[in-house]
Amino acid sequence: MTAYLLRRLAISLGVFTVMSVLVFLGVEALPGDACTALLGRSATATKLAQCRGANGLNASVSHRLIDWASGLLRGDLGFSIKRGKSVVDIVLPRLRNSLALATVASLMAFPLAIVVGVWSARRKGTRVARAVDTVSLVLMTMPEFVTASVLWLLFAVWLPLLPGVTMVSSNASLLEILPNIWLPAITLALVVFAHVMRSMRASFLVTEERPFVEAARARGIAERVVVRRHILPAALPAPINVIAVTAAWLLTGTFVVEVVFNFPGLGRIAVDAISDRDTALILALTLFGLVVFIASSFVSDAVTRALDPRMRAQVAS
Amino acid sequence: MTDIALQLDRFSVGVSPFDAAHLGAVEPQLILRDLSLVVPAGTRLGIVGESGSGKSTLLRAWIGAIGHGLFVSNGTALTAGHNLFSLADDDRRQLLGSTVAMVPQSVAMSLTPHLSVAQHFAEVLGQDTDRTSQLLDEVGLNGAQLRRRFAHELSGGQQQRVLIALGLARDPHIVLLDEPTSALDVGVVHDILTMIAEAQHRRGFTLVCVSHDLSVIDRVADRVVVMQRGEIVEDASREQMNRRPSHSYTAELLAAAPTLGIRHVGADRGTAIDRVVPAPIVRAEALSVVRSSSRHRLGRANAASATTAVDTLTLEVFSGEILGVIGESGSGKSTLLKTICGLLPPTGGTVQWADGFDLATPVERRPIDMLRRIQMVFQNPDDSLNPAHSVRRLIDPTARRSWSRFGGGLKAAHDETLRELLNTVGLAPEMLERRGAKLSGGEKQRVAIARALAMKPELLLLDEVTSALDVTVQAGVLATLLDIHRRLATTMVFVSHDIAVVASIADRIAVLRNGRLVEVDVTNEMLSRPRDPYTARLIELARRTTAD
Repeated sequence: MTAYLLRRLAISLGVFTVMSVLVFLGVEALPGDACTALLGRSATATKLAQCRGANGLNASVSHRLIDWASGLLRGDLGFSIKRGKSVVDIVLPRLRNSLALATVASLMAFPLAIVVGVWSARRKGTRVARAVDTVSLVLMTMPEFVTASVLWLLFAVWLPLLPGVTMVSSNASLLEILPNIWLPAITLALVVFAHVMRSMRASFLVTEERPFVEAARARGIAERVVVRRHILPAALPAPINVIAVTAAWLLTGTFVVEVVFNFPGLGRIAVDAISDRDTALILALTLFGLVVFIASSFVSDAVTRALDPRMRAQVAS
Repeated sequence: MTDIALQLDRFSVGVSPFDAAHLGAVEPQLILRDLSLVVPAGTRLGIVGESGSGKSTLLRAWIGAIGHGLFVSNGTALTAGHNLFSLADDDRRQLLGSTVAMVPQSVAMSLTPHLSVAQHFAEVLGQDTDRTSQLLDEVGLNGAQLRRRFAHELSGGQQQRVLIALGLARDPHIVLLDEPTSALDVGVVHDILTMIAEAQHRRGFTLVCVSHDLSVIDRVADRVVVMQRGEIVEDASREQMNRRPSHSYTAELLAAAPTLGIRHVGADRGTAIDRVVPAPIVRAEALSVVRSSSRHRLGRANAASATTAVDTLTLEVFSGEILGVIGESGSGKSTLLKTICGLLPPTGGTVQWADGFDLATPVERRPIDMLRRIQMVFQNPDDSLNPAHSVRRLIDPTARRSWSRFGGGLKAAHDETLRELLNTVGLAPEMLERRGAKLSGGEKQRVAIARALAMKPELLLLDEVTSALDVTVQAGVLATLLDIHRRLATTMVFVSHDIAVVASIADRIAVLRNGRLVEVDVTNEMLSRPRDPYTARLIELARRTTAD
């Protein structure tokens, strides 16, 4: 297993390196640069040249790539010209907020999704199970801004229990942020819950049809044990993969929800960075997304393997 | 314990109306019809029938679990005096394993893949490791060695033994065996059946064994029930049934079972070797094929996962003959076929077509005419035929754009030709518009053969083409193959694990073991005077299971 993890890690690093170069070149290939975006309409040839000179944009692409990469290795993500701050200072507090939001949403959604998925699979065909199925389908298909708006109406307007819009800055302490997390977190949790729950349910039902389950039942093993020891370990890999993908999404794809609730996370700043042509910031955020997706697939592969002795054996050989 | 172990009283099982409507049936369908049966304690009962006869459903009725979509429409099934369908789940579970034990078949992965052997036993015995070792010992396994293994680390035979030991764990009065030997090699079958008979003798439980294979039933049962389409058509002692079956279907089953040394009708037409000067159509010299496991990922070369499937094999296939190839699983017989048709690359030696064409050329780089000449039919038609396509589309070479480049005479493959083709494989012309999904197993395999024949091949590679079929269906397909051979003189290589089947149609037989050629000889020669002890043992085992 260790050998496998090390190999997998090496590959992840390779993917990261190649992808970060591609991302850098991709941003480079776009028309315009940080200076044209910063100066906008007031841009004249002289001002542009001045700006580019001041910010080192005149150097060759390869030169700047090496510059940027060596900075990256030292933990320096560059400087945002538009915002006049180092990228690390912009990203870190928001990263913390996003992590808090994703953690709260995950804790609400994932355990519950697994439990409800199994529960509804075991009661397949009953009215309750069908109701759960329908509701989850609705949650899955409803755009997040609709879910968000409904929740906002319910808990911020009609029942003013929670703040509807975040009024604290991105640098506020976690305690100050916490009350503002609930509504966006619930919105995200509902979407994510539906995906994971349905995958758990489907996988459980397929696994339940397999001969070893019938054989276990025929041996007179208690149903509780059949579910926990025979079905679940074989059924979990599918929802675990969904969890990995959705967890990554919780950290990188939450722009809509952040806008609705004015939550100071990474999603908003990413969109802003793109419209500002804030190269350094775009690169940092893209790389962050890359890390998140690589890490989540790494973790889910490792867990899936740990559950399956065939994979374990293969890795050991 | 009551004196009657198992009982059926006008017992019927139907497909529940909802599912029946799905299947398009108008009337409620019965899987089991009005069965009555009394099985006294200590009986050794065999239930034989072909697929769809309801034998597995009957077996499951005695543990009260007939499966989704089925319901008891009438009558009762009693197990040691209990009706398991009317018991509460907990009470029913109490009886399972202790009063009645069901031993499922191993092929379908009946051991939980992520639990070790020891963990399986711990569930039914608690932490009694001595008892586990004792049980494994009783079924002929080395407990110390195997207890920590998982299902995928056991052979099919070992899995079946573990399943039997699990069934015996809590000393049941009644043991139900579901196809205990299907898909196992003949030697393993023999050993397992012997072990079962011994365990029954020692413990004296009531034994019910379900199989599609009369020879298996013959070995373990002294009373035989024959089922056909949900009904019991014969219930007799073993001797009685073998001597003079009272029902015509039983007689048909007995006749269809291939018996070693009995040639199929039409097979004795004088061997091909008498008719033509032996000219090899395929010649393999010192052929080796190393197969690496495709499961290693991340591009790491893994020497341990590579196996030599075919090992320095020298063999000729003569033009116009039927060459039978037999061997146990892992003997390399399928690999040999796949190499000839270009699906696997040889790693050593040479393999050539009659005109010197190098058959090491992978299939995608072979010239069109070469592709046409060699056609292969696979074991499982469910996997090799697209169920959504009509028979016409499946067998018509011009219906597929990728095939139209074969052009020439095949362009005229219109209805008349296709009907003729169906006729050749023994199917009615109306079948042309039928979807693959609506065909029976035997019909599917005939379509698969027709598809191969549509190309007018010179060499037909047949990989276990009758293994998935019932005996009566198998007999029909074998007769069809012989008929095709007589009419078209197509050279065939017929691969099977069953020496009796091979011997019933092949002119010559090649015996493979661990990728090596044990011997090759004219069929009758080999049967009467096997030169290698391994062949002798295969023949002896086959004799013992069929001619008892």
